[in-house]
Amino acid sequence: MPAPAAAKPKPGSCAKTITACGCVIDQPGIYTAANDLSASQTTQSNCIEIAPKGSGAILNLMGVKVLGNDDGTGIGILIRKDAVDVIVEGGLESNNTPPQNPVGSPPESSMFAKVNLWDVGIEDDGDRAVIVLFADIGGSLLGGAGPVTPKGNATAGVFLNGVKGSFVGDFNANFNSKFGVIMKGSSDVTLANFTAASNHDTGVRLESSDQNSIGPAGASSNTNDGMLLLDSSRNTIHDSNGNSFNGNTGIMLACGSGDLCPLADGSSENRIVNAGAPANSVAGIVINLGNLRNTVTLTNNHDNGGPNDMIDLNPDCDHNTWYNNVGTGNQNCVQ
Amino acid sequence: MRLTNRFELKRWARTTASAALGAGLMGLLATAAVEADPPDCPIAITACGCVISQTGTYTAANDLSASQTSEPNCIEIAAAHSILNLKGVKVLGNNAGIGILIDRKATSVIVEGGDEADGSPQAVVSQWNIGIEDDADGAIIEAFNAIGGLALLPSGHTPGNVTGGVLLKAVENSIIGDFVASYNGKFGVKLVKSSMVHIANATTQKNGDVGIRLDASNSNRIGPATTAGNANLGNWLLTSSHNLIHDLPGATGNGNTGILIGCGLKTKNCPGNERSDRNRVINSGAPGNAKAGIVIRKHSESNLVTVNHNDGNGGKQMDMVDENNKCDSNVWYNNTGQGNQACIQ
Repeated sequence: MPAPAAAKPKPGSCAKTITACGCVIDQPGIYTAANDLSASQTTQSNCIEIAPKGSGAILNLMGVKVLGNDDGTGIGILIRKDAVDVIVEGGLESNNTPPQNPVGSPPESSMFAKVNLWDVGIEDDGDRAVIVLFADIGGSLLGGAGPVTPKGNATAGVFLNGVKGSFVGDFNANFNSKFGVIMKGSSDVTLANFTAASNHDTGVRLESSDQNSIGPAGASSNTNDGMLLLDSSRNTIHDSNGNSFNGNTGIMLACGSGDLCPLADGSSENRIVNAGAPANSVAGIVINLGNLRNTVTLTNNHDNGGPNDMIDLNPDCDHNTWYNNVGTGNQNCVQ
Repeated sequence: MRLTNRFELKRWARTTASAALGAGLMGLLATAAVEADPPDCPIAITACGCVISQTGTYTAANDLSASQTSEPNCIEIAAAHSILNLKGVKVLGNNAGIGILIDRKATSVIVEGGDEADGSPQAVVSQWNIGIEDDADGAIIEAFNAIGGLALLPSGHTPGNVTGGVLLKAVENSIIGDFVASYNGKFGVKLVKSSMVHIANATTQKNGDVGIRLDASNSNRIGPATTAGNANLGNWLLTSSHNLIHDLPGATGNGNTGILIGCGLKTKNCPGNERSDRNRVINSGAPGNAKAGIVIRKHSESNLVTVNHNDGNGGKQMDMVDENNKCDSNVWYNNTGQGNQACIQ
């Protein structure tokens, strides 16, 4: 009979100045990274965890790299459930001159942290976190433009898991193997001033997540969709003009249970305002069958590859409102 | 007293009529009774003084003016789910009334100043008491060239609204975005008892008092926005909590303070009932104001200020000010500028 595997030791408490992966922040206070951090420095799954007893803690990565093993495992920064009011920042505001603008150009700064080659770059399971100032939570073109596509995190750059009231801003989440940002069961979250581009599935994916705000933002050149809302209602997408060049659709509202929405779990009462989804391979904005009472207005959606820029699969748009948008629609009610 | 809301006007008339009967003042009754409802707006609106009472899509066909009507307001919207597109026209008042009024029961209304197509003009709403007032939930108000005055080159400006550009009263979930509300007599945007409102892509400059003011309004989001050159304050959160200000780097050049959280600056030792708690100011900035950048007044607690640029304000160590002892439970972290206490970083 083989001996049982030895239990992995619990991670030790992080020092105020963090020099290696594999520790947990379990007291409030201000913690900073002193040097680049790597999964190779520890046997722990994750680099830095913030525990409930560390609620209110501040972690500033001071522009370092936080790199995983590139084997699809682990989390770069994990804010555990019940670790509330945590702040995670990638650098100093004094280096943010001019202020970083991921939606504009250039999108990246070498002064802010990079979190890459994990399964998930940053996972927030705690309410009211603030996560800001990251050059890359995923792969980067900075200083390495060439024929090789940069590699990101295996599942996602940022994962918000059952949280309320968190703010994630000022970051790039590009070149991840699935998602730039994914939200599950989360509400009242704000995603602002970010780019989720060239991810190998979807730029921003919301699952069963309501009352969130997205924008300003851009989700371009993702393999599938720019932004996908599944079973997610009362969200606002605003000032998000760059949902372009995605392999399928710029912005899609869909049911969690599939195209025919058998479980009536649609994405409803969402508002897409002052945004745009032009030049995607198939369509700009799509509202699938069973997704109702959404409003799409003041969006620019020209030059998508399919027969229509804007598609509502509900008969006569049901109770969706499309008004004052640019692009072709699949029904007269799509204007 | 000037009553600008049609329903308030009717209520006033009824109340006044009762009083008049009791007192035998039949002349006053007669005066109150002649107030008539404004006519229904046609689908293509050509003049001020009408009410949208049926759901539909309405457009302005030409410039609209208070001189076209004896009604106090230009256009009232009383039908839920209506759409009004002003198609880039001017809606000019006579320094009273409201340019566009969304009545309390008219939920989920869309009011837009122009077409999305490239190069389309956006509307101007000015010289009213209030440019646009939203009293109903779920409105979308977007795409205005000016809800207030327009700057003139090389100097000067056209007149704004007497009191304010945009007023939201007791609403939830409205969105106001893509607009400029400048040169108004008191404020660019004011929220009263409103929640879950988005103010986005907004510029409020050179208003007579404050750019964006929240009174007793919670859980709202502001940003991206610019609030510069206002006579007193860029932004003021008065008895307002759980709000988020983000991507607002231009709270600059204001006559007093860029961002004020708590009671008014004229009040010494703020009373505890005028607190503004748990607000977050992120990735913004209040540099170059005459006195202070960001101020949290006494008794306002658990606010977070992080990743802001606040240099070069006029007062000594006034880029960031917390009036609470050791900042109490307010968190100031990773900002630029000088603070009045060591707890401000």
